Amino acid sequence: MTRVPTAVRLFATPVVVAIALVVLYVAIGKQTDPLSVTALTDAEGATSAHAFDSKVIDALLRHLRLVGISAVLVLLIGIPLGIVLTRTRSKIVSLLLNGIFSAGQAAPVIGVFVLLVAIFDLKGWVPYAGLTLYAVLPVMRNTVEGIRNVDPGLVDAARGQGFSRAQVLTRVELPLAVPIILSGVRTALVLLVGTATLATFINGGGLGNIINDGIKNQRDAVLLTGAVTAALLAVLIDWIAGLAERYMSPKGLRGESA
Amino acid sequence: MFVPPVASSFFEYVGDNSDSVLQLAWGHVWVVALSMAIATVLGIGLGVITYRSPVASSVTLTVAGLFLTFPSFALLGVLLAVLGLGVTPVVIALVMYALLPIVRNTITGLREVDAMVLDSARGLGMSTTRRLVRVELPIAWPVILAGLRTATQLVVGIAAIAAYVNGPGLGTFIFSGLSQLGGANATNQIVVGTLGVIIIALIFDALLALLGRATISKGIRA
Amino acid sequence: MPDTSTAVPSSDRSGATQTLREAMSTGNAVEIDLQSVTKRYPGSPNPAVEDFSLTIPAGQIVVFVGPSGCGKTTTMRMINRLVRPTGGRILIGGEDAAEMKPDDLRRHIGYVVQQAGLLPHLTVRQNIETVPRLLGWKRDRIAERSTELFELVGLDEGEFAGRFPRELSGGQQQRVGVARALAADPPILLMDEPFGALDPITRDRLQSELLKIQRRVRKTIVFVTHDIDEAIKLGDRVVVLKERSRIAQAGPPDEILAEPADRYVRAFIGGGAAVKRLHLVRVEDLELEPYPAFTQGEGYDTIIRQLQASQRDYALLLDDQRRPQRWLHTDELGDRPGQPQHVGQAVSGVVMATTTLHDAMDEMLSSGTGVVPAVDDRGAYLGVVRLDQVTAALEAIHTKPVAEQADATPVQTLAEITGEIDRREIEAEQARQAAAMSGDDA
Ligand SMILES: Nc1ncnc2c1ncn2[C@@H]1O[C@H](COP(=O)(O)OP(=O)(O)OP(=O)(O)O)[C@@H](O)[C@H]1O
Ligand SMILES: [Mg+2]
Repeated sequence: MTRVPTAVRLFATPVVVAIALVVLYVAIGKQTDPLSVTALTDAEGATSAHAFDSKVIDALLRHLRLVGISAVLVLLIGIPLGIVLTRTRSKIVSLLLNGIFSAGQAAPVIGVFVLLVAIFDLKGWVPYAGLTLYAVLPVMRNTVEGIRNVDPGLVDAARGQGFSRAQVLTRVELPLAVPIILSGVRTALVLLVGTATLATFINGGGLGNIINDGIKNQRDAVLLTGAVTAALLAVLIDWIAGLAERYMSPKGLRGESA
Repeated sequence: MFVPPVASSFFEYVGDNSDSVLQLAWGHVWVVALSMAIATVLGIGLGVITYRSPVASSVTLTVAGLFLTFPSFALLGVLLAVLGLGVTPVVIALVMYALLPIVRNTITGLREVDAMVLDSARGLGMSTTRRLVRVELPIAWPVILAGLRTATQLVVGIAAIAAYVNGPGLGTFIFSGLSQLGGANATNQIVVGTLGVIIIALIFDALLALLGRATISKGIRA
Repeated sequence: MPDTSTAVPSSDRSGATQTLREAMSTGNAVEIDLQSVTKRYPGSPNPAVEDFSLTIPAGQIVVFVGPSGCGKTTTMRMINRLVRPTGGRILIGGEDAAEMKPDDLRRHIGYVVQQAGLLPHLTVRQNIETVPRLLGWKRDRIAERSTELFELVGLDEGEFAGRFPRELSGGQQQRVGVARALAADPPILLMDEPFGALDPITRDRLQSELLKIQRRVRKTIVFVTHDIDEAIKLGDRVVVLKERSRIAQAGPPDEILAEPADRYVRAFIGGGAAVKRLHLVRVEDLELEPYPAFTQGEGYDTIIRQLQASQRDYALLLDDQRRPQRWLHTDELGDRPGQPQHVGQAVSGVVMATTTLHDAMDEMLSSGTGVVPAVDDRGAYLGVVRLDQVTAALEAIHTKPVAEQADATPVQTLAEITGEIDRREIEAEQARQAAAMSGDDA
């Protein structure tokens, strides 16, 4: 990280992702017909000119939808929940919290997904619920951490100026917690892109469908198309979230480590 | 008295299938342990080699971070395409996921060793290797161990997905439950798989915590 | 903001009868009356503050001084209810503080803490404007007020307004902290070791500036410190505290130095009480020596003529704003063709009219000249202070009929008789202080 120009550091990721996409496009596009994505996903026989036909694009869009909506839900639930948890000093609550965090961390996503389906059937909202449930933990935990991290002296000084408790929260604690909350959001987003590939098992669609098609039909080109696209998407979203983390943190807090 | 039908039949199910439960649980433990052993050697090794150089360590961390970014299902799929079905792609994937927490904590831990302590060790005439083994690694060990715990939690969960590509482990119950959804024992299978994975994760964590108690010097215990 | 140039507003008029809110609108100070105030923290056997009674007159600086943990902070924080008293009453401008809404109360009491406590994510301007915004002032009024405040605390608005706290030095941060506390022109200012984390030079400068500001704003200031020198320099009244915030002695600093009530107070004052009393005399209290001074435009002839008339060896060269620049000696003025600004010796330091003699002496000793020009608050030349004037002032203090020496017959107090104070500890402390003093002198 030292002495690498900022521009290179900032734009290396999208450039690499773009190159990888082109390579994938060319490589898969050259596949002969029986191996091509089209031949498989369009089992009825209609073939299109290139592997990146609408099936892959559709899956990608569906994937983004899964991630996007869940991400919004995660923010709407995770941050307020985190705030509520910091408002209480009860030992029981924090113990409970630790319990939920460690059990949540240990629970396998796929198990949770399938269990949800077993209980609620293959309803349309189940994938969203599963994804949200899974990604809400890092956001919640980082919100708690971020707020707890705020220098008590600052809170005291703000109280001394006459900030009400609510004002201390909105004007001191939350702004100061933003960097840590954002890093939780970044973790959550990457987690969402990854776990959304598992939505295919509970009829959620997304890029997992393409990967699964490839595995089931033993067509490596299809599998690779899905897998590489999902991986590139994760890298790209991580990059965007990284930029947000960098530029959305309050200006006065930036570059402290420098 | 009302007895929830699921609960009773769940224990019955476990009792009836104790052989396969134990066998798959053992498979799960085994594949996790193997992957963690490899990842530990690799991760600590990489950390030790690179921690002195900002460039090398940042490259290592970036690459390991990239691995962790890949969706697990996608990575397993790619490895499957390259290596075929079996244990090998599973272990490779798990090692890749475990790498970041271990390397990162090794580098952090080693860098946090007090320069004064190192200086006095040098003053005592310790060689570089001896210093590393006798001074730096023991002091960094609590941080490294924390990385090992994080990695283990991660890997136990991901190993459940591996069942889909014929890996060993409790994921088998989950996927078999999924394929029989609505069937008599589907829910039981899913619960056994999920709960089993959680229990294994907690056991691993407890064991690593015990390892910490046994190995972290009392002088630096928090 | 009231007319800030008034040096001595009639603070009496704004005394106990004026409530905090009334005072807020007029900018006048109010009296604070602590009546048998007690604080017992849950879970600790002894109260942190026990039966504390004190009247803090409007418009004065009252300094709480005492060793660490004696309860200074706790006592002070009960005034703005950051700590809730468990007993007694606090009247602010005659009103019971317990009956006011805490947030509201705090918006009417300025509060400055040790590390400034600035919000790191806000700019200097935003930090300063915090309380006026909380109070819902109009935008114009806020802007106008910030400009005044930047000027008041000696920070350049153009340069500093847009900076973030971490882009300031500790001293600058503390100036911003003071500006923030004064922003809404509160009648009361609470300051908890505000200069404790600064280097001695910066601390000294900020102390002097606080006094300068206080002359203009005349607030009721409660100042907490564990530095007796700071207490003496700043306080109109000094309150020496011992454990559980019990008052060992309260009074004007002069009195405390001259007649310490007991051994505890004497030990706390430490050695060199006489030198400390130089804190109480200011440069402006002396008759300044009128050394001849010139601006650069004036020619050699004038300079030499005036020097001869004044019968002094040195003259001061001033810049066009009448700030002292160089010392010129008669010999150097012979028949040199060059400009005066290349002759003589640069002035190494100046003192302000408000500087204490203690600090002025410091300046003379460190510059090694034994003379130092005095200036007004714009930096313009007023006259010169000489070391012999300081020693004369010291002499005057010495001849006052008070027991200064540590080994003078101790006045026994009830506390000492009942053995509450460990004699050996105090003597050890005295020895330590004496050693420190002689170390400084060497
Ligand atoms: N929030 C609290 N809870 C319990 N005890 C406290 C609390 N704050 C202070 N104390 C105790 O009250 C006593 C007085 O503390 P206080 O902070 O008022 O001292 P101080 O004179 O300001 O000391 P210092 O010079 O170190 O700042 C101490 O014994 C301290 O331990
Ligand atoms: Mg204090």
